[in-house]
Amino acid sequence: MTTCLVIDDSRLVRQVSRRIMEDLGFLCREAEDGKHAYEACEESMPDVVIVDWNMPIMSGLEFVEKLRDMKNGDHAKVIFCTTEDNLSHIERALRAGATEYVMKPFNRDMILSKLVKIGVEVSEVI
Amino acid sequence: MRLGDFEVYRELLVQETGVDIDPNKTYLLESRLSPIVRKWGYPTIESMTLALRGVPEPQLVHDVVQAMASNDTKFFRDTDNFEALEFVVIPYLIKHRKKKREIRMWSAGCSTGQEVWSMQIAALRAMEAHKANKKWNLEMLATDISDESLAYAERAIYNPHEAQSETSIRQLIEYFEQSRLGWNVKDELKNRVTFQTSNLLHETGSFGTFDVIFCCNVMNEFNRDAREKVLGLLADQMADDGFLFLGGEDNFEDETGLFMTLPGYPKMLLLADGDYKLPDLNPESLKAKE
Repeated sequence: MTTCLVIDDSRLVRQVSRRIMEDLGFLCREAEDGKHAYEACEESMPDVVIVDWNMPIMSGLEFVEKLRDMKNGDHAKVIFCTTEDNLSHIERALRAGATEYVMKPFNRDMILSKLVKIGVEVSEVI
Repeated sequence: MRLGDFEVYRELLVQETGVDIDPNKTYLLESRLSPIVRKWGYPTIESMTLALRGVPEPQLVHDVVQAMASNDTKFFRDTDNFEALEFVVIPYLIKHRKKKREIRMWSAGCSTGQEVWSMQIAALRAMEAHKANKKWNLEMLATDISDESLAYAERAIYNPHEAQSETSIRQLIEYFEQSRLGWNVKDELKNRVTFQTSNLLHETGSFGTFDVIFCCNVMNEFNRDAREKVLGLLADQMADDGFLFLGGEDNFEDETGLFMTLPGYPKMLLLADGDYKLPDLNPESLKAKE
């Protein structure tokens, strides 16, 4: 089963993202900031990461930079899902190693389209 | 809306555009017509219907038809078409237009422009992959029946939701510029396009010859007569080895006999009496050289 790590400091956003990803056939875990996400990746590298930008302790950007330095850290496809919608943020995210970038608000179709574009196999397309 | 009133709008739309409306979509009609009712100062939609039953002002007919014309679209809608354009059609044309170095495309029924820019992005990517981006001329015509949609298309500014829904983030930052109004299509793309109001049903075919025509999800709303007329018009506007793309919702039987399709490309129509080098339409033979 394809695995996904949802990282957001908002419980509600995590829940929404998780529901979307589970609906698309992913096995999901959650983390509330970059630090916990990093630990989760050390334990087991996910296939897909959905990550917010602004979080306490370790931001999404910092997490992605660290993730890409990890052993097997280039395996995960990283999608930023954030309210940061200006070009400079997008460029920084891509430079840090993000695979895709979604400006909030997002919905299931948008996430699905991005997953297909980056070549992630989605099992539950309803 | 009463059935009798619905029929007034249905007949008007068929007469003016060839588009037929599904009676189940009465609710959609009402929401689209409400602004026109307000604009013309009618107390209710029924009173506007009464005016249309008599000898209506041409401007009222124009406004009503424009409001009813569908403008449902998004970037890279019908993905298969854009992949065929990028990986089959444009590479084929590059191979067979070497002397002229010009490719002409037409988005017929371009709505609010997403199809226009998606066509260009796919074509430019193919031209770049085949090193044909310099010294080649990529020209586009974009037409629609609705002045309002066309103005939106020409303005080419999209909100983040519209811009990113089917576009990869790398395409977004390569072909758009961010402004305080949203995401603006870059001039590099905009400068290639001529926008023109056009009713396909009344068109006489004076736009010239095109290598590629997209007329997607337009004819699915036409009745058979209108469809045949428009297919005939489009066939006449195609180069002898031109390509016509239909949309995913265009699930009708082509009774004109003017077209043929290739296996694997059900929405890509070729002229039945065209002049194609069919072996060159194999994607394997058209791969860009590294």
